[in-house]
Amino acid sequence: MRPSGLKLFLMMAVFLGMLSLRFLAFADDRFMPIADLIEEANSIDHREVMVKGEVIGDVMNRGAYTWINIEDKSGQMGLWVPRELADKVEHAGDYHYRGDVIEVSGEFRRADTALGGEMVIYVNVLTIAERGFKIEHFESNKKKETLLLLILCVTVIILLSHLRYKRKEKLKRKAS
Amino acid sequence: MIFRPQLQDFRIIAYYAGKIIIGISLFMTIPMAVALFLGETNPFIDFVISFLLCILIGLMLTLFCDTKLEPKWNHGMIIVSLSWVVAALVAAIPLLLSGHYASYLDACFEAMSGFTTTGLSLTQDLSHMAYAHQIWRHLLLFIGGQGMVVMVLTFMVRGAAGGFRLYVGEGRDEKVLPNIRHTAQFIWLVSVVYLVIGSLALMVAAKSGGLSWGKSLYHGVCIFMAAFDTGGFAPQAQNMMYYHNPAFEVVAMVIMIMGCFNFHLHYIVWSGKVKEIFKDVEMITLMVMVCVITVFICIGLSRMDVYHGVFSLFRKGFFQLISAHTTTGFQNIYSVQFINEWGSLSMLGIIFAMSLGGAVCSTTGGIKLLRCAIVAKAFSHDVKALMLPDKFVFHKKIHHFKDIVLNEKMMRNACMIVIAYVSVFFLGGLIGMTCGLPFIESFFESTSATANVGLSCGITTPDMPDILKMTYMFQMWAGRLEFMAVFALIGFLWAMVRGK
Repeated sequence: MRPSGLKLFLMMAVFLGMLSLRFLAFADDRFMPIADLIEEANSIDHREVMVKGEVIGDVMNRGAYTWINIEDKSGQMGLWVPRELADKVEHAGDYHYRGDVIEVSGEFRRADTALGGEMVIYVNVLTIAERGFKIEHFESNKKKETLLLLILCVTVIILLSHLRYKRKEKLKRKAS
Repeated sequence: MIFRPQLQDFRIIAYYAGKIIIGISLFMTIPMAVALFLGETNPFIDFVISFLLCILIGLMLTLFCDTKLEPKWNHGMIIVSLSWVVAALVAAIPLLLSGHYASYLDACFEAMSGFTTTGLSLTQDLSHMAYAHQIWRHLLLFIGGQGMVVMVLTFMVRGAAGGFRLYVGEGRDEKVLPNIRHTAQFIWLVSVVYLVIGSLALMVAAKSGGLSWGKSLYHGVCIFMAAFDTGGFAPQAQNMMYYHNPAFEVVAMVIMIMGCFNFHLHYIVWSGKVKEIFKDVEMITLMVMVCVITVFICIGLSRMDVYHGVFSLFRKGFFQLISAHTTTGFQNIYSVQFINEWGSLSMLGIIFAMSLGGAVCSTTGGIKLLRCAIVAKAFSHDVKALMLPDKFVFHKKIHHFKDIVLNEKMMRNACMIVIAYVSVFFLGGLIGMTCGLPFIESFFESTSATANVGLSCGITTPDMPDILKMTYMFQMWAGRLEFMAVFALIGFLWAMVRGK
């Protein structure tokens, strides 16, 4: 009996899905964690590496090149990026913003003499994987309740101290 | 016979501890204002909660333990040692509320590290921390570097005699000016004047590196507080590596060196006697040790083939040496690079520099240059005495703002402190090894904590065992107070239990 069109379609969809998952897994393996770069710096010196991470702090322009710092789950690293590639970055991460997540490839240098001994990646390809966004910070109700309670307690203490002071003054006046 | 403490002893201690807590709460208004200005609502609430809690505790202690009695010597030591612990506990509250610390213990560790101007950090996701909390971390360095007691003396203490006892309890036994209150006010004046000049210099250097003016000012102020108070915190997790800016590092080095000067030396230089810098025994010791250790570090780094080029060697090697010797703790290399790349000789050079530290009556930690000079002088005197005829009489002299003849008491005190430091270095190292860490890394981190340096070879992380966190907290606290105040507190607690 020949399989129906629907069954064939479902089998193709499952096959393509598994293939894309495998591709994604493979794609993530291409990116080296920053901690591994630092740990294995001697063995990967002057080799091409790929790194993925969030742009943090500030994009620091230095003429034809720019310093960008990125962070992944394992650490932070400086990237020496040609200005035209660096201009693609819109958001750097801080308290208010999640920075752009970028994928870069370039030559890793353990202690680059031209840059004063810095550990750096000389970037030659930069793509924006995810755009950054403004972070919504929600206020905690528990903190607000604690605040009200503390205001009450401090008010009581100040009142008590004021009454104590008044009583002392009264006693002083009576004694004199 | 040990006498049990009386109620009046507790009252005096609690009263002054309360004043210090109120003082800490007043400093919290600064990050509160920053949070309000920048629209950081959650941090603003965090600081208001912490402020009110401190006011509540401080008011209760000062009201219910109000006393007209002046603190005696033992009170001074105990007030200081206890206040630093209490201050760390209350200063940790806004840090815990920030959500960047795994536990209250981690937040207390950070607060203690800040107050003791160590700079070891357990902050998580520092890149996304609010500016208000960042300012608070750096303010802890500023308060601790000047001395909490100095702060209290400036504004809150009635009598001079009691004030001096508190001042000495904080590990300072030199008065800059005859009146202790004037000494405290001078220390603040120096710090504020240098804050303005130093922050501007760092701001210009940061701007030349590509930061905006606003960010340059922010980073300039933070890095100044960390450099002058030889604390070593930075607003970004990469520490000094974040800036990729040699000019910025040079300015920071100058400020670190100024931070390691004796405040008395600052006063003398401000009075016009600049040549005193080259005559003072502490400065001579600093220059000699920097030169000697630089040689060893250069040999070590060259042997390991770490940096190619004189500029790279100077920038990384010399900067780390100055950071270690001034007990600042700024890092322009990754922590693991100490172990993976620098090698044993360079690491030992750094450990030695950390243990020596800076001048007495400064913001630095370590054994202190004056004590090292006294011990070295005593040693050379004894060797000379062996070689010269018995009837030959000569004095041991050093020049420390004036010519001082060394006596047995001074040498004994210096040796005692040296022994205490070295013992605690080894004790911390031993505990680290008990937790499974290798010898040199464990000893490196232990020395860094005790000498209030803050350099890390990768051991200090949020994942490290709690016993190690508590060990380093104790080491930071004991090292900052130079042990005497800590021993006094332990003696006080013992007397409470076993006294008659």
